[in-house]
Amino acid sequence: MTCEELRSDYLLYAMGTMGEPESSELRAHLDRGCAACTEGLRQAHALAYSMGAVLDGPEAPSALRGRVLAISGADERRTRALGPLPFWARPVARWQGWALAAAAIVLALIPGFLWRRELSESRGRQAATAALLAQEQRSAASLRETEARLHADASIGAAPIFALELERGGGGAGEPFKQLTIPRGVNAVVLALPSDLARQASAAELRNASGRTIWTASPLPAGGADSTGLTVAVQLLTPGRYVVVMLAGDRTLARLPFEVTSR
Amino acid sequence: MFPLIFAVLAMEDGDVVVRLQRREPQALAQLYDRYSGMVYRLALRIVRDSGIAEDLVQETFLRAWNRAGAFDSERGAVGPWLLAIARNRALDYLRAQSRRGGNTIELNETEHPTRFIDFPVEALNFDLARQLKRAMEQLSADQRLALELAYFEGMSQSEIAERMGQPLGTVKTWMRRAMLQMRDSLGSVSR
Repeated sequence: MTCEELRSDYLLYAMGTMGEPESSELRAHLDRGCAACTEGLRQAHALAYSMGAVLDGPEAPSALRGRVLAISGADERRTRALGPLPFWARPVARWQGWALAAAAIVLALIPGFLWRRELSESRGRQAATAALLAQEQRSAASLRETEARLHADASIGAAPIFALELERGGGGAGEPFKQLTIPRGVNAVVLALPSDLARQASAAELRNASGRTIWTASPLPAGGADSTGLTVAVQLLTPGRYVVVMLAGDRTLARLPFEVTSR
Repeated sequence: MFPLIFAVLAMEDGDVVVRLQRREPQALAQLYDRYSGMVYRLALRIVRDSGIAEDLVQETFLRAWNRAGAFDSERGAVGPWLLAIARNRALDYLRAQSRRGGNTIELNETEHPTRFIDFPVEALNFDLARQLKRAMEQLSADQRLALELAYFEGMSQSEIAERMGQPLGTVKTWMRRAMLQMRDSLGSVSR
């Protein structure tokens, strides 16, 4: 392109809004050392700059200065260098002295008040937590008692036991949960675990729909060569969704979801 | 209101930049006191929101603080550099809001410190700035709008043509004539 053809593009180039391939062509032209275009572009830069520099409008808000200078800590130093005398070095009227004294007393009392309130609230929170924990413990103890009673009950061995073979996966969004309908008269359910998982796992947890662990098998009961089953009292399995989480130490090996529809 | 007397400030800016490069907080304070009004007005003109404009001013000075090392303190013009940074940040904000793609030329190129070496100091002159404002007012409405869309909205000529519903050739002619007219008005810029 010739200098004449490029001339109309100087300003756009200076503004950074020139399209391609024109901007590449202009750069290549400048690289060849064209003095006329270099000077033209210099003028265009000055014009572009001036467009932004001569605007009417407000000054920057005064509070902004502190925000910007916080980048370097400059504002704080400036305040120290140029600011007024510290308050303790300034002369005060008698009424100001009394007011300061009163304010100091109030300020001295505030931390104590806040501390007492915080302590009181903290104690309240601790009490609530302790109550919740105690409730959980009672509930867990009740479940353990129920389970122990069922296991201890001689009838459990003789009563019908219903089995469900659990499978990996499922239970995710849109995936079906393996369904379990417990017939009447059943006292316990055997949840059969995939054999490979049972060999790797050290423990299993039964969790309800809200994610609470309602029963734990740790260590896993010894199983046969092909399978290991978790025997769970039916009282624990009210209709709803559950998941058996297979654990190896702290690591989750697999989640085996199922749903109890009715019993 | 016109900003500062640029010519006088430009002579002192070299010293401020040297101290900025030494990470002296007072240098940043001085730079801010000189240019914050100009930077803020430009950001406000582009984004038309005072809160966003304040954020952009902060971002502009942060960038200057972090990149002062690359600036030529003897031959560079720091005011134009700050304005270029502020304009680019503001245009980036506009693009992010409108999800409009960037121009084919990278705007960040326009704020590279080397671009401000041997910047025409005449352009920093207060009288010249006033003269430019008059020259802008003498442009036709279409010429002025085309220039404003390019500068304040970062539009390419094709985008301007589309926005104004005019053929690309017409927009190019407007912009070329506008530049020549303004350059004539600012004859003293040429050396």
